[in-house]
Amino acid sequence: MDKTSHPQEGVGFGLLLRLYCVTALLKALLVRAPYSTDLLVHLHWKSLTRRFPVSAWYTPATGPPYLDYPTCFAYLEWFLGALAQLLRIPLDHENGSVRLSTLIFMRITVIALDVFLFLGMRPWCAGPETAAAASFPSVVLDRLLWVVTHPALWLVDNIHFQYNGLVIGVILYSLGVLFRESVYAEMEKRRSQRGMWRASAAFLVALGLKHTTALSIAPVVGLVLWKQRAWKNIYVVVSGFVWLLLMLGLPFGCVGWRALWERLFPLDERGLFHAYWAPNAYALLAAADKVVARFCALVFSRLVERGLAKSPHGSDLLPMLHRSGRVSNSAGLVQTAGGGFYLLPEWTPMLATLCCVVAMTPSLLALHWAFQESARHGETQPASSDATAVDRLDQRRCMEFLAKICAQVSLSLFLFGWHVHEKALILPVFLAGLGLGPRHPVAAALSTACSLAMFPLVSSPGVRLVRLALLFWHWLYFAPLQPWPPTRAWLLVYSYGGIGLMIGELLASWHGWQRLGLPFLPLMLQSVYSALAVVFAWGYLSWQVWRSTRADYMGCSPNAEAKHLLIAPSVQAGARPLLVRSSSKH
Amino acid sequence: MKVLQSCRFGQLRKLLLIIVLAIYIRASIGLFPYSGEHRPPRFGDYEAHRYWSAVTLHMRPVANWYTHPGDYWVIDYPPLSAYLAFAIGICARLLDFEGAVQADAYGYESESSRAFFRGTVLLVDLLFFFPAAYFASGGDLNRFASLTLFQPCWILIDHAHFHYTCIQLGFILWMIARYRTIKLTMIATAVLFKQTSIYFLPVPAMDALRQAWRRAFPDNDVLFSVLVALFILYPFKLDALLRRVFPFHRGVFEDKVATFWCTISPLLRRTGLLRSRFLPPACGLMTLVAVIPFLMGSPGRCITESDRLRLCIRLTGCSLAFYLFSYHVHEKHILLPLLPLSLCAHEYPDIIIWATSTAVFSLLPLFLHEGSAMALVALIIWTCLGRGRRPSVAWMLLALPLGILLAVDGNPFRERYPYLLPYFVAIFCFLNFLMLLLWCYKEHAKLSGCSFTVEGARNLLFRSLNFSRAPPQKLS
Repeated sequence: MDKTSHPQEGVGFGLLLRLYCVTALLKALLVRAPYSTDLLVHLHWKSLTRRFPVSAWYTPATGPPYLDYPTCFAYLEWFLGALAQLLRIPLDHENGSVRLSTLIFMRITVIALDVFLFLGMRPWCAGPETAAAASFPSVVLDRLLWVVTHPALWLVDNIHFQYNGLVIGVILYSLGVLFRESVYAEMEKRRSQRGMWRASAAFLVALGLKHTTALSIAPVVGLVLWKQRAWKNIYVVVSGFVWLLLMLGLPFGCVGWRALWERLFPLDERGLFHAYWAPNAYALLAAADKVVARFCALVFSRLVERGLAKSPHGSDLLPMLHRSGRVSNSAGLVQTAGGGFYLLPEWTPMLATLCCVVAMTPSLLALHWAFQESARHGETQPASSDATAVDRLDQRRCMEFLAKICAQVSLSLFLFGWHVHEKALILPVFLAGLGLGPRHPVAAALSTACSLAMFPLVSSPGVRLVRLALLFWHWLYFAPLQPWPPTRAWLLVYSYGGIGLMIGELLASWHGWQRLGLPFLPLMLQSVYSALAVVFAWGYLSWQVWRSTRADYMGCSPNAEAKHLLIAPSVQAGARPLLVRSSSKH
Repeated sequence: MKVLQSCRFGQLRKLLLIIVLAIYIRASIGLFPYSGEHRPPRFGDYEAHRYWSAVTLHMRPVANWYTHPGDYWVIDYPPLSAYLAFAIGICARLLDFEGAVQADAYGYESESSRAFFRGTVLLVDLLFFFPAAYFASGGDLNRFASLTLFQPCWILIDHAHFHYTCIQLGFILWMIARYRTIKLTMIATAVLFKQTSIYFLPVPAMDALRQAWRRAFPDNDVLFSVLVALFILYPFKLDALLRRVFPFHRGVFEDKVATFWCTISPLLRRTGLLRSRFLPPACGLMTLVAVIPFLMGSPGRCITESDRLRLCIRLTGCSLAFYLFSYHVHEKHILLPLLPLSLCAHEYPDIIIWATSTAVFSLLPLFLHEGSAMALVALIIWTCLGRGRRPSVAWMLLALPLGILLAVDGNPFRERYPYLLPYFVAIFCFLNFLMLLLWCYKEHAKLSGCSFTVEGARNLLFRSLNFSRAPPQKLS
């Protein structure tokens, strides 16, 4: 937001720039880190978007690895490819090894595009406590640092190689603008509409950059825009239309929408799990399934040995249990469509979607009620009510309430989604930190779990120390400010984190698992460990969101969070508030 | 560093944050190639250290370490380095890196053994350098950060180029921290770890001599240093050791170094003096002349801040004079003068930035050759940001075009005259260092309470030659 509307800026532009430079320099030290095949994939996409016309981008003619990011990202790759050609940087590789100039170019594009992460944090950083900002660390700066120094993002983007910083930056910008528009009372109607346009456009861009990440907050954005009657805003409609044209590649020759759809949602090709288990609910299920099946098989084989039971298949129960004869979901290698668990029923995309919807119900209901409440509040209050009476602290709490809702929704989708990657945990972690506050124990536990979940992606011996240092720095910085906090939650968080770390480091560095016939045990333990923290955080967030709304709904206590939500339209004299109109429907 | 002052964190957390950030920087710098990576047949310093570990692990008796024939990376560092190599060899054997320390494994390179050796550097850095830096900075976290975070030279030399300089620097820092009590022991240990520590030797030696003169008997420090030296040197034959450690046959400088001799090398080559017998004595004489002013002026009690400051300036000037004028200087030796200077972070922020950036610039050809110039550039900008200063515009106007010409591949000038650009860099850096030396003279004189007049010089001379038994008069 510009300074005219909010003279009290939390984090100034100069500080933002300096922080960006510092983190960029520290990230630049990682250029020679061992990269994954994702770098080669992105390299290939850069060259294929340069070599083929837009209409052929999503056809099999391009050769593997196929482009499976949406069209806006393909445009970005095209642009970066053009830049590389301008700088005479080769866009090919020999057996997986790239030239030094190519490597440095690719790394620098990631670092440069991280600018968007900083810009995306601006709406979140403009806060009321400017006076406190002089004393470091201020609350506002904490939020910024929580996001931009998070080890998980550094590991995935700057060592493993991806462009998550850009996507998450755009999403955070969209959410931040949307929520501020809903919260801050001084907004005039025109400003609010422009804000809504900016938020929805940013969201559409994010959807075009990486649909899987953007879709995890789509329910919240959709609901808020619906409540604000976004379809009546001409800018929103036009930007949506332009976005649709761009997604189909119409200005440059049409992309086959069916091919695009199949690339974006390859439900037939991809199984329930990614190669590394993402720490979600299915990781727990699969682990339990595996353990129980193994145990049953063990008992059965003992029974067969002693002649207590007879089996036509010999003493091994496992193949029998696994009726379909395909590789089990819990075998670890499940990149392709994998068949079922041993004991649990086969999971389908439909079932996964149903689970997601049920899991995020509390948040969506809470949001709905909050809107209704604020609309009722707007009606009862006279239109001339003083906007400055609204406490700024309450506004911040309101932002945090919305961030919590967002975190809960994206966590639900992460927990129960189909073929979820572990990288999808980063956005919920950021939102949880913004919602609960970065020094909250639950946020810390979730962030630790997230960082540890990224460890299998970057496990070569050279970067082990790097990832540990990043994690420790974040831990140290976001440890509680008092030397011995009154609650013992912190102690629990840190011992929990330490145990997880030991699992990650010690178990993974021992190579005897192959010999024992349990090559995936370290990975399984790690993902189960992280999944437990994620499930706990999800439960905590759901409970928080639910409690705050129920308390308000039943009229037990005045709920500041809901009261000031969307109060903005009500302060305009004369005009009927936008939201009141929408609430009259309900 | 300004952030540190306004930070509400406790002292311990600030310290830990600095240390963890320093570890991150060192570990990620370690991802860049070490010297001579994938460059057979002789590889580089990494191979030298790895090979020394193998040799010391397998060769008995210990005296043979300095006498075994051959010219594949013979051990040419003093015994403490050899002991360290031996300890690392034992660690490698314990941690299952046996292959890396086989006696006949020439040019052994693997990802895990590389991580192991990088890890040993980081470990000795944490064990030797960091505590020394904390005590030498007197608990002042700004000075501590100045030594550990915002000084690219030894981070790059140790963790990118591959060296164990941090141990030597740690001993020097201990010497500065406890100058009154253990200076000789520490400098003796440092010299026995790496011979380049004699760059600092004249200052503590002179001060010890002055102390001994006053008290008329050798104190514990002298006794202890002699004992340490005897203990370390005992198993070895001294003549073989000295021949290895001071290789006079290797010439007056290597590659293009920003020294006086390299700068006038075209002249020397033209007159045929480059290989002459008179060059080593000439080097010695010039160094002695340049060093003498720093030996004047009593050290004081080395408790007050101004005494410590003066000590740092004397050590800086002395080692810088050695760097500029002595025999067989490498480009990496420039980090020695920077060490005491970095302790004066509060007093001379601009001078430190100037000296550091010039030193880093003088290392640029080396790191371009090794392929880690990116780390160098990132770290020097990081240093400027962290210290909140930048080099002067005039300096940048001269240095940046040179650096860019040097770095950009395929520019015609570089292809036509491949040796001219490094030479220009050397001359540029030499002139800067010469100015730094002159500044050191000036600052030393100022801190000693002398002015640049005839009377002032006479005062200084009398005072420094006044070996009286009376306690030295307190200087302002």
